[in-house]
Amino acid sequence: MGILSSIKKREETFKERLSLLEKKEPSWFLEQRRDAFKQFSKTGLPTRKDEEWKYLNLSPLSAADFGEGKTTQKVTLPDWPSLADTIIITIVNGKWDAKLSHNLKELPKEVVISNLSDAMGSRIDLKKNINHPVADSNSLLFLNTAFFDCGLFLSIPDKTAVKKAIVLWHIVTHQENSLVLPRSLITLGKSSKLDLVEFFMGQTEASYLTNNVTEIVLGESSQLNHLRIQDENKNSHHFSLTHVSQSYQSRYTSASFSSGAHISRQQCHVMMDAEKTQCNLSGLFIAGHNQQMDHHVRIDHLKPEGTSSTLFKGIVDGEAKGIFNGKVIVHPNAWHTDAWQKSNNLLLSPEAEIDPKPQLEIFAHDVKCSHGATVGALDPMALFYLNSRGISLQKAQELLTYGFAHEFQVPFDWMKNNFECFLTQKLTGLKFGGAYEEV
Amino acid sequence: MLEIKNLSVSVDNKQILNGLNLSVKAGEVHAIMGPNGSGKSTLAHILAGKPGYEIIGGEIIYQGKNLLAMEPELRACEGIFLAFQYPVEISGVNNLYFLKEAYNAIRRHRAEKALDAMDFLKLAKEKMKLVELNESFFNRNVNEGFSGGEKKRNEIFQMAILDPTLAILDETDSGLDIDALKTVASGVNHLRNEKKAIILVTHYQRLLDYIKPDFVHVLAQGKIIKSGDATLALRLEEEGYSWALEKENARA
Repeated sequence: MGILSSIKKREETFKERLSLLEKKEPSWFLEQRRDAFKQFSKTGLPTRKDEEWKYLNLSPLSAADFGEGKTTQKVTLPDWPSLADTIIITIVNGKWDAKLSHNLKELPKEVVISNLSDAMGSRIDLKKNINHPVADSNSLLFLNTAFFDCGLFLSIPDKTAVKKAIVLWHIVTHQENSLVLPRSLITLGKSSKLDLVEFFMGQTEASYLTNNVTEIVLGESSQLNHLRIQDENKNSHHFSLTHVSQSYQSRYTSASFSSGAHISRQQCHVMMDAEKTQCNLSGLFIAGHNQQMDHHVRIDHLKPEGTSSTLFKGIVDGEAKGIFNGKVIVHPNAWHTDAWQKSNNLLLSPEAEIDPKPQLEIFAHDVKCSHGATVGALDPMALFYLNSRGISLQKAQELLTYGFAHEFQVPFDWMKNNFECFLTQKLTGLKFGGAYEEV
Repeated sequence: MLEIKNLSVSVDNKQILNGLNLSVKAGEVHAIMGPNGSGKSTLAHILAGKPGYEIIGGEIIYQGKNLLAMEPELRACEGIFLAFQYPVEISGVNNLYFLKEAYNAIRRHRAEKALDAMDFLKLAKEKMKLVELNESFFNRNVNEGFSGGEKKRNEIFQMAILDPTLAILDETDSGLDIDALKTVASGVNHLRNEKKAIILVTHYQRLLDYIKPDFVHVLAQGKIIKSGDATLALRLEEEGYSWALEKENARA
């Protein structure tokens, strides 16, 4: 029996884990693990009764028997040509594998990469940077906190601009029904700069469940360009929480692309808890066949003169369902906030569904905010125009969909061509309302 | 090359074409003129295969094949090209990339080898001289933010690249200034030869000063009511369409 379905198994596994960690992790964190375990045991997985989860049907997950996994496969590194000149940190089934990493020597030597459990043992200052509560629903964060193994700590010191991008290459080689719990804490010191890629990929066709937590702490005037690519296999499930805390004048730019997993929910929560912070979030998701894809974004403007933008584009085909929920909260002291939010969606099939929900809550004076959502289909006139030039219907639909997706850009020039090829390949898999073969 | 026999067409239960006949041979240029709402654009759209029209009678034979049974992309591959009256703006799709896809789709249909990006660029550079476009057009999105004149020149540029057997120009002259009109006309004249045919749909005689038609037809009330040579266009310009209509109604 697995951790999710059996209380007995869950308790046994947790006790076992804890006894191994007692010598390694500080007591303050062991306490947080115990607390998280209790909380998760109380609530279990979220259900549709929870307002923030009402469009996503998780019942197939509760019934499945997710637990610890066994691995059989060998690991391969990414075949993206543009990643050859990056620093790759390979995380296999949620655990960092130093032997499989690439170009680590090229990092400035003050940069710290270590096991998160070890780092917490020696640094009490990490206590304030870990386990930030999320406003909506914490149960998946609790599950991760209770059970994650080792985790990853990446720390960029003050005034350090890391020239090469760092790639967290998450792969799963586990067999059926395994629970994969990656955990990362990334801190950027004052005036430091980093290009970060988080890449999630399955190397098996197994139905596993990834529940990732990435916490990011940005120091004063630091800059992070962050790309997430979720390309898990179509039998798997993917949950992810990205929590960002911003300091004075820091800048966070994030682009999130997803096309993988059967059921997925990605949540990003940015706390702009200092003056003059800047946050730009963009996203593109492509859901086909019977995929369910949920994106939740929340931005808290807590201090004056922050600017934020959110642009998410959704493409939904087949009988798939796309969900976008964006919430921007301008707190009472956050005057001179400038925030806009946009959700544009393309429905490619009569059975496809999209639930966009942009939300704006303003409690401050003298702010500039806007939000909006659109849902549309491909323009028949444009399709005819392309057909009349000899381009087939399938190709014309791909081209127009590409045109719709094109506004989404990766935040690094060096990856642009590579990403465009990847995107084109993803669009070729769409059926535009035609039948999908059973996977 | 093209035989339209007794064609009747309706849109939303409203009959637009009513027993239209037209025969076009290789090497010929036909001008189709007529008042607003007479069905000129409908005819152009039908030839290119635009959906949304109901064929209630008649047939169109193109190079011995039943044209109405062919999908629009197949018609294009078989050599039909429509220069749109209102070219569509397509955001996010690069003009040159789009044209390369179109060109190679047609080449593959003819069992010819597709051109790679470099060779296609060479071809495009050569053809763009015909319509006096500059290279910045390559990297813009298809028709997006183009002026009216630029859109029409882009249509002729596409025609020059795709090298059709039967070109249909739907009011390509409307909205053009004199210089653009001359450029467009010289682009069209350049493509004229004994193997190709051109159908010009227009309101005005002006375009025909620059592209000399072999035949001029007056389309009114859903059919061709009068045909003649280039002098017919001059007569229409002087006397107006009412002259042709009165004669037709008197005959009926």
